[in-house]
Amino acid sequence: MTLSEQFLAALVQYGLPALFVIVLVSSAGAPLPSSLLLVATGSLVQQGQFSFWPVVGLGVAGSMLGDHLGYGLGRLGGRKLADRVARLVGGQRGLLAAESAMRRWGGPSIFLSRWLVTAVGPAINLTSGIALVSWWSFFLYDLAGETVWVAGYLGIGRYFSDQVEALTTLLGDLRWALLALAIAALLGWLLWRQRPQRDRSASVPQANAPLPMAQPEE
Amino acid sequence: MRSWSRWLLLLGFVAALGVTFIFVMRAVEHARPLRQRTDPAIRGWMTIPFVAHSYHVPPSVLYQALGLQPVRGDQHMLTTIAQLQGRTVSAEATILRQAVTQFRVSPPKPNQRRPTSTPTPSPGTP
Repeated sequence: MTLSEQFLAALVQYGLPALFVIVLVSSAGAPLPSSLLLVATGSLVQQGQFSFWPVVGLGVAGSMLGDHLGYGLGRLGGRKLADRVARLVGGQRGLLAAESAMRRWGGPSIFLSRWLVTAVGPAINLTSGIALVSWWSFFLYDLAGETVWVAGYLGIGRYFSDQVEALTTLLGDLRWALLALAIAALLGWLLWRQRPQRDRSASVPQANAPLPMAQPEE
Repeated sequence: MRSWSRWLLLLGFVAALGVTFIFVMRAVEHARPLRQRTDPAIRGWMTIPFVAHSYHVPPSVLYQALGLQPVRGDQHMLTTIAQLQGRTVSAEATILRQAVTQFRVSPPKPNQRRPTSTPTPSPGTP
């Protein structure tokens, strides 16, 4: 049995408590196949083994608990550690910029990293804590995002209940494609940002260049 | 920005686009079984009702093929059943696939009563 199959076996054998624990640990940052489990649980819901809404509630609770572990870690001890690392490697400006970006885009990034680009979820939890994003804000965006993730994957699992394996492979591919696309978009944006700066520097005269003087009339 | 770091950014950008393309192609390939609703693989973690649901056959057909009595709410995995019957999971899977094929070739007539339980010469309910 592969690792994924062992987790599926745990789900079949122990039911929803297994789902709760695996989703919690996965949201805290461990690379476990939680999306696969949600799709398989959706199939079991379709077969009448579980009810839909209790599973949604349990899944959301487990994943939020895992997210809050990361957030709490960042909030309690992450700032000191990040400062120390930044001093060591000389990245204090970068740290400040990251914090500022997190305060500005924190909400949408928390929401989207719950269900769309899930690979960065644990890192966003930690940086939200380090950037001191307010707990209420984190909680609400987290709740919204995790509900979309859990209910969405369960719903897909219900609809394609006879094709669990093919579906999870497909979703895995799409998740990696989205992550790669997000990285491409970020790098593309950084490249694009270089262009106007270079154009501006070409049109604005240099500070030490001689000013154009009016020629005295003869 | 130095030219080498811009080249590095460009390289990363192209590589990320390449990886996106590869995974989109893989996704298109993996979407085919979903569109065509092909039969999935039988795995050790699956229960008999799960296999029956995936293959769209009554569970009783599969229980009968394995020489077992149907159990309501059965949560025994094929791995467990295989151990109890002294077979491998792949041997059990072969038996189940044969039963599915046979059921599809000659499904019982509507007025013909399907067997709900079978005499179990060996090894009994899992």
